[in-house]
Amino acid sequence: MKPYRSRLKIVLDILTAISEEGGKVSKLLLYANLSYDRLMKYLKELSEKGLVEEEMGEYRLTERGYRFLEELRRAEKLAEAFGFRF
Amino acid sequence: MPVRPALFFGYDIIMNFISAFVAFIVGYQAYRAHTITRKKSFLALELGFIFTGIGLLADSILSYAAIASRMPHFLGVGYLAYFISTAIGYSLILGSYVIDRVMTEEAIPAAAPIVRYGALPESILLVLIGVVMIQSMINLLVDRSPNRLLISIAFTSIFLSHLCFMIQALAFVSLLVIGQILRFIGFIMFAVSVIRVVRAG
Repeated sequence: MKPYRSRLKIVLDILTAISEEGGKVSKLLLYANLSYDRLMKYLKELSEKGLVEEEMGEYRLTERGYRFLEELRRAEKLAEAFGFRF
Repeated sequence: MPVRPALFFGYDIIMNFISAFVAFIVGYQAYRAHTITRKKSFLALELGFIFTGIGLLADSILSYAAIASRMPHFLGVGYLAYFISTAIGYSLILGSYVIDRVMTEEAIPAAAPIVRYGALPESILLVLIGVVMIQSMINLLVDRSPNRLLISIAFTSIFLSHLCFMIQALAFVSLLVIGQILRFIGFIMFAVSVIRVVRAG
């Protein structure tokens, strides 16, 4: 059985993938471990919130996206320290 | 040689003040995490540490006021504020775990410290923080990470401090000093953990 991954964790994985692996959809599919449809749905939502932007078929984090990713990583570490689910 | 609490009086005010500061920092980090994730467990954790910090701050300020103004009754008021605020704080911290599981902090007589800590209120705080401590230990057993170890040591130190406060109210006054130091160590552990969290960002 696959371990449950929360929506927050999926968003964190996608943003981390874009930040560290580059924004090609093929790489994101592997790194984020999502179906194409689900990944595109998340990317559309992240674009609408101004966290990522698309250019020539590649995604990259906006300034706001980098700040959001930093805060999300801290929140994940705090959750991990106190034993909360993330 | 037994420890003389009277010699310790004054240092406890400083330690409480620093502990309150740490509690507010943890509360602030939880607030940031709540802002970004909207998780209610972070909100309860934030409020829990803010109430715990308010209790410690009220106790240290009113204890200082008692020394400065030579009005020992401020100690009683300070302790009452500390007890109420800390009880609410621990309840909220405990609640944060419940939410997380259910939904996916000169001239004073030597005897003065004895008046400050009551066996009954301390036993209530002991039970509340005891459950939180057990939860943090379970979390540590599931995943033995350095941050979970620090949080577990912090809650264990605070639990032991309330045990010392409870026993000293009944018999051994020198345990007050040990209790204060244990609680201080607990909050220092929280500070180390928060520094690690901030650096991880």
